[in-house]
Amino acid sequence: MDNTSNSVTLSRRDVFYQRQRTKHRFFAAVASFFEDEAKQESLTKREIARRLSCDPAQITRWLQGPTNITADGISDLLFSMGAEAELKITRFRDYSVPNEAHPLIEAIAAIPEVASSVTQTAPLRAMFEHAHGAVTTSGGLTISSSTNSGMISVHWSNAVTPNSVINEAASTGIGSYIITIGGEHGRDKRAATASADAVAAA
Amino acid sequence: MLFPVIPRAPGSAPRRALLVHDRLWSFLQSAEGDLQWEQRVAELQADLEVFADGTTLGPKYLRLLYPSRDAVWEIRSTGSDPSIRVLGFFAERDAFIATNMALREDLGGWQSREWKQVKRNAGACWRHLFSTYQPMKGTDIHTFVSGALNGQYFK
Repeated sequence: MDNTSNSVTLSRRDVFYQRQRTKHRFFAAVASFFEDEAKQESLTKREIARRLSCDPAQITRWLQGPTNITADGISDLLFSMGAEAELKITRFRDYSVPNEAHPLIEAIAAIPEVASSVTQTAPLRAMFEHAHGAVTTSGGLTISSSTNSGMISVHWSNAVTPNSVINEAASTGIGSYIITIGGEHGRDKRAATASADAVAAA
Repeated sequence: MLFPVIPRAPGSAPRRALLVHDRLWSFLQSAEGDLQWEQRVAELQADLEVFADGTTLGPKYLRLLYPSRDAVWEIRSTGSDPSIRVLGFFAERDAFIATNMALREDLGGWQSREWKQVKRNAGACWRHLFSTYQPMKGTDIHTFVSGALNGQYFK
C-alpha cells in the first residue's frame, strides 16, 4: 500500500483494508499474550471470566477472532491478566524494509517483473525467454518449449520440494517460475498457447 | 497460474508464503465496486495477509476440513457478510496454496453436497497445478505452520 499524505484521497478499499489489518494486529497481540500467560501462569479463560465477573463464553468469543473484540474487550482482557497495551504509532514512511521473509516469497519478490507489478504475462515472458529448447537445472527442474506450438512446459521430480526448486532455480537465474508452473503444466493448453503467442508477439 | 500474496502494508514481514490461484487473485484485483464490494474485497485481502505476516494463527482462522486425509484446509474470512472460505493445501510448512474460494452461505452443512463439491474442486485445482506432487498431510498444526496458537484445528 502506498504511503499516505495530505494530498492523497484514500481509496475506500484501502480504508477498509487498513481497518481489518488493524483489527487483526490488535487481536494477534492480545491472543498471543493470553497464550503466553496460559503457558507460563496456567491461566485459563474461566479464571479470566471469574476475575471479570462475566460469562466464560464471553472470553471465548473475544479470543476467537478479531471481529468479536472491541477496545473495551481488549482493555478488560489485558487488565484481567495484569497488563495493558503499550501503544506505538509509526508513520508508514518510517518503516524500515523488513529483514525477514519466507524463502519462497523472497525468491519471487526478487524478480524485477514481480517486484514492480505481478501480472499474468510478466512471469510467462521471463520464462519464455529462458526456455529456448529445454533447460534442466541441477535441482531437477526442467523447462522446455516448442517453437512450433509456442507451448512451454515445466516439470520437476517428486523428490524436489517447491522451496528447493525455487532456491535452486533462483541461484541459476531462472527463479520464480513456480508461479507459472500450474498454468503450463495443466490442461488449459489453449490458454497457455495464447499467452505464449502473445508474449512472443510482444 | 499462482500469484503470491505479499502484504501491502509497509514494513510487513511475510514469514509465511501464500500463493493464490487465478480466480482468487482476480477477485483481489477486481475493479472498484460499491461500498459493500470494496469492504469485502479489502477484508479478504487483509485476512489472507494474516497468513503471510501474522505473528500467530488460530483455529478460527485456519482449519483442516473433514476428512483430514484429503488435506484440504480453509482460511476463514468472516469479518463481514458474506463470510468467505478460501480452500487450499500446504505444499510444505508455512507454504499455503489457495486453490479456490466459496461463500459460506452457499455451502450448507459440513457434510453437504456443496461442501464436497468445493473440496473436489480444490483437489482438482491442486492436481492441475502440481500433478503428482502431494500436499502435506497430517493433523499436527505445528508441522504445518509456525506461530500456531493451541487449539482444535480439525473436526
